[in-house]
Amino acid sequence: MASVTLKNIYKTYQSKKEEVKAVQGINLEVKDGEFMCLLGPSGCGKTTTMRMIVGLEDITKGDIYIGSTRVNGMSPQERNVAMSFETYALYTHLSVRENILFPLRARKTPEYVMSEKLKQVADMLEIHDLLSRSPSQLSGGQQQRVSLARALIRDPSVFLLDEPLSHLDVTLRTSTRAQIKHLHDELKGTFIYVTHDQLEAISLADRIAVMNFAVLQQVGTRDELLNYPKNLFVADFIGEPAINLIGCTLVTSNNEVKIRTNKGNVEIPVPGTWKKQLLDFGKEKLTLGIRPHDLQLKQEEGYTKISGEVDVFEFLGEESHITMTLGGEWVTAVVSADEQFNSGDRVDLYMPEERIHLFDAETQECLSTKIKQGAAS
Amino acid sequence: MSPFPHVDAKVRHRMRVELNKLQRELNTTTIYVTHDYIEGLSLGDRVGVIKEGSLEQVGKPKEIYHRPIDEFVAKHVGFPEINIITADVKSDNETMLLQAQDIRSLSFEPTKKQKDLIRKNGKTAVRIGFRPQSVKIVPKSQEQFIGKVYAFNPFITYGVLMLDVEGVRLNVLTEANKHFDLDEELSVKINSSDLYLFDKDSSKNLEYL
Repeated sequence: MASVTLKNIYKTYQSKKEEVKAVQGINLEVKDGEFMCLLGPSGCGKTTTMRMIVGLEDITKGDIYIGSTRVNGMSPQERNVAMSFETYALYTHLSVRENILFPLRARKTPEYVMSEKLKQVADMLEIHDLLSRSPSQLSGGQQQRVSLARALIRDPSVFLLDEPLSHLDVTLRTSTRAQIKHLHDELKGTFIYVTHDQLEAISLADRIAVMNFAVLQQVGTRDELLNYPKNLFVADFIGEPAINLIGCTLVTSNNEVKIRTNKGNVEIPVPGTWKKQLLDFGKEKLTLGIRPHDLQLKQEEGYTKISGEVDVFEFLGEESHITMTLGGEWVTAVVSADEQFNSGDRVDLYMPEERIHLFDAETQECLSTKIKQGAAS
Repeated sequence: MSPFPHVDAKVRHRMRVELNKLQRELNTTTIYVTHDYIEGLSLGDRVGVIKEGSLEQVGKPKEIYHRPIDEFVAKHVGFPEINIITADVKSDNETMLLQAQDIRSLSFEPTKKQKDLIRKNGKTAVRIGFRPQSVKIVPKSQEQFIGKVYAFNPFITYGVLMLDVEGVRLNVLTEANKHFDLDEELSVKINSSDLYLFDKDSSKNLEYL
């Protein structure tokens, strides 16, 4: 397959009354063989971006390359990209077999090539038994696989998937998600996958491009986005349960730098190595972020203790959640399913100092990521 | 009715916590309808599982999860879904072995309690259930059987590994920070004490027969 490069891409929709800026200045390089997710809430511009890559939408400004070819103005066929749609878009008057073969028939491919290719994709997606059926006789999951097969049979340079799991129930979603990951690892192809579901993106992608308000917020691996978020939006959008956020103020006393919660005046230490830079930033109003799985019940050296009363304890099968109040805000911790607490119980939670995130409360930029990345470079 | 099926995960979590607290503070008898087992386990003092108009099981969240009355309840509580396979009971007077029908390399020696249950009910075949967190990746020396990596999906606090074992796919719960290669062969072990036994015909948990 091929790489995909977006250089300073803009998309503006113009009507008589107003101008809508759907995509603003996106730069993104999807490597050959990479699984890239475009993630963001509805209206963020992710689908528009995908449609520009496919060639279903004109590019207002900027350039798109597939491999080394600039594809602006080319038709979808000329770009040799394949797309699987959210609604599957199967031809209801054709059998599954003819649906899958459609792109090859349209290119007048020899019969023996078609039957070989058909066998290949049917093997890969495990749909041999469905070939003679009509799409209307298939379940949602089966329709999805047929739609994937039809996209794959063309040997595309790039494979684009638009919310392929959104209409499937939980069980089917789990198995289809595994199948899509398997397919990617087997084909070693370039996949671009659009979703609003952060768990889908986290569980599938090599890297994720997070978008909001038509702007690319951050591109990174699962670990980078979880541990080094660029801003509050990214930190809050990714994670389940979501990151705990508490309003704080930076305080200096006796040469010590700490943060203090705005409500309840709880003091929380910051790593010694951050102090100088935190002072240099000169930001007083901060938002403290702690991921629920970075909190634990076991005390360890260099861990900060936060204590409180259990507000809510939830046994959820594979894990349990403890929710308590810290600085007037709820703080949730993910603990082992073997733990048992009751509301009202006293609880001590511990977190590694360097796992806290500090955001500028005004600009929402993540200051701790900035410090960590400055130290790394 | 579940008041929040259409909001996103973050809001749902927050509302779940709010409602939990509110219900306790008001101390009001509350009946809550939901299709989401997470809400059921989280909110209910007890949970009633309904299938096709009949009440399958009523119990505390931990009972529902750890001692499901049948395959239906077992499958509807927990993520990823519980693995369930069919096994033949091979026994003489002394020993007993549960041999998976579709996986030749997988058999279990049941615990004493499980043997008694199977003997008492005179079963020649049973359905075996095991939760994804009971499937352990182990060193070669402790290997019970071999699984081939089909796909790995890392989430936030855990990962879901799908293993191919002689063509049968098994869900395995792992830590999130793992890496597995496609088709990599892993040594796997499942402790017999972690098995759920269901009747092959009625799909009822043998403990309840």
